[in-house]
Amino acid sequence: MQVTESVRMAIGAIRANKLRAGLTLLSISIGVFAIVGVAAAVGALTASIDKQLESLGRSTFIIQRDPAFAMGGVGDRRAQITLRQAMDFKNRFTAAQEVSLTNFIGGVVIKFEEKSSDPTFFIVGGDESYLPTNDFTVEEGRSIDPMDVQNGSDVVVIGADVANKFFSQRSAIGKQIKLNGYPYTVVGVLQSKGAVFGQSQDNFVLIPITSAARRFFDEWGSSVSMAIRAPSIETLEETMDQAIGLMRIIRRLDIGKENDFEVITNESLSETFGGITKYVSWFGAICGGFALLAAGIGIMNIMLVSVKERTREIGIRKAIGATSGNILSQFIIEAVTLCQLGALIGIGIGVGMGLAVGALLGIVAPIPWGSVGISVGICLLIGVVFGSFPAWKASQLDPIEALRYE
Amino acid sequence: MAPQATSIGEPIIEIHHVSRRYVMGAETIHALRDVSLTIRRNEYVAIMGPSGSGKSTLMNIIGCLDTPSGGDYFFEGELVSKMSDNELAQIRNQQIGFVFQTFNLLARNDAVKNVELPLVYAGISRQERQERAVEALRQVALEDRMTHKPNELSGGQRQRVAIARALVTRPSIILADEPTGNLDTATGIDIMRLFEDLWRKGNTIILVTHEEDVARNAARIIRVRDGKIESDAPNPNRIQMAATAAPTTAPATP
Ligand SMILES: Nc1ncnc2c1ncn2[C@@H]1O[C@H](COP(=O)(O)OP(=O)(O)O)[C@@H](O)[C@H]1O
Ligand SMILES: [Mg+2]
Repeated sequence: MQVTESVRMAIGAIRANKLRAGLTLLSISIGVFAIVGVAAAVGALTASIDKQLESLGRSTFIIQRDPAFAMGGVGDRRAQITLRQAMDFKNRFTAAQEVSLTNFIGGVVIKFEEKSSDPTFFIVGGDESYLPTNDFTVEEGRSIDPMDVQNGSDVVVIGADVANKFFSQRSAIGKQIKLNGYPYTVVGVLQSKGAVFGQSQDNFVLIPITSAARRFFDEWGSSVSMAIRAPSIETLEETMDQAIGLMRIIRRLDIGKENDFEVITNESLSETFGGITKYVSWFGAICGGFALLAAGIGIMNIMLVSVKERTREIGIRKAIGATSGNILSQFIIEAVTLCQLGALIGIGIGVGMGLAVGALLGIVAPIPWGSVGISVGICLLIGVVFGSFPAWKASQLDPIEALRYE
Repeated sequence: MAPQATSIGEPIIEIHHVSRRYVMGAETIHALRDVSLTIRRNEYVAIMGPSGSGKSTLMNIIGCLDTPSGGDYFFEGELVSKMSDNELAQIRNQQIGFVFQTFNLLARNDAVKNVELPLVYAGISRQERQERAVEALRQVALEDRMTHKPNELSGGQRQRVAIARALVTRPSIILADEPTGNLDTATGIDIMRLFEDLWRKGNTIILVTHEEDVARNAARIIRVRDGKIESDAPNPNRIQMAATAAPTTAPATP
């Protein structure tokens, strides 16, 4: 008897017991989903972060006070990088092709004429390179320029959300808005970049960092982050060493003292992130593995009940010529079919979730074939392992006794 | 040409001092006690006896479904107790067509699927299986009930599905446990005509019945009582018919 025939029989048996089969499928699906879904989501995140890092450029590194992924309150023990230090660095650091300074100030209230916003917007204190580095395009007007930064001009480029809220139909250029009460003149409006994870990317305003420091910096909360572009990838290491040296001088660090700032490269970022995602993937796989183990025990249980219920059927099959081997393989294949159906559903939902996460991040998420393959393999194994005992019991039934079973 | 019905062949079923006991707690039921009989190829045997006399038990043993508690059973010269499970399964599948008293149909499958089932285990392709199942159902006049499930069929129709399933593998031996028990007279006669026909083509027919009318079709009648063979004799009526080669149901040319 061919396997296709057994699979057909198995599907018939599964359809005859939809609720019970459904519950088993669910447990298998959850296990597979944990493995595939986590891998898919992580894959999507990684792809998205790689893409973002790519836009930063390979020859660029960042110096800031806090690590990129802070696990504790490290930053509280380090002194801020003040604008004075950052400007000092920018002026003295000739090895770099470009040094861009940034600072974020959250929870700002924006007011225009009589209308005023909730404090859901934030201010980016930056310079002329902030917009290109972060992939923003000016839709109307202009960006801030070096002169603005030098003079600390009170000019502002507004994000699309801000423009929509206050200037839905008319032009914003030349208008005066108030940021926490301080008047700024709008010189540019940005194109919308949409949302990531339901989080808008357009709910900020950009002002010259010098102006930001004057108006909004507080002594401890505000620290400047510096994006430094080396002349080439080849000179990146060298430029970094020089930058660290200069930073130590500016920060007045004695020899032997550790750096009280972080140097972050593209590579170190994706390494750190890769390390984290690996743990997450393993965590998903282990959770999924345990879920599948539990599901396997469930499968065995259900198959045992099924064998008991179908004693007469087994008797009939044997009476008209089924061998013990036929019965054994029929029930094992039934268990495996059940497992693979569950796997299919789990994979479908898992990959779907990966694609959804990818869509939120604006990328096409890769399908985690490795995890898909592993899941199919594990489910095959579970079907065989946990289906064997019930199938063996079924195959050993005496035909006459089985036929008399009520 | 003489009808094959008269040309009885070599022994295919040899039962020597077979007994079958069922132990139910403290009680032992003797379903068969020291039964001996030989059936040759192309015989037409009716087994009669009151309810509980051991007819079905005997049929199950003949059909290689059950094993004797004592004595020997040779099927086509081979000792059944020495055969492997797979050999027995193959005999049940290919040599014997068993019509069960309780039909034993798969409730979830429709008539065609039920009839197909033995062919599945015989390794026949899907296409051929289906064709042969349909043909077998036509033989029992059930072509208009192909896709009905057992619970959508009357007792008589289920019985005919069971008969079709027994015939579909074209077995040389047909064992039928009260095959007309649930049929109306007209259908019963049709089925008996079918058996008659198979017998004429050289098949061995063994049927259990409690109706004298049905038993009259057989060439040999075995009467069972309390697990013992009470009498085993040719059917004088039938012998004569066979001798003149003119059975009432299917006149044949001498
Ligand atoms: N599996 C069994 N367990 C216990 N007793 C049985 C079993 N099968 C048959 N019997 C008993 O054996 C006797 C003969 O049964 P059976 O062969 O079915 O009779 P018949 O077919 O002639 O009506 C009956 O008394 C019946 O109750
Ligand atoms: Mg009986």
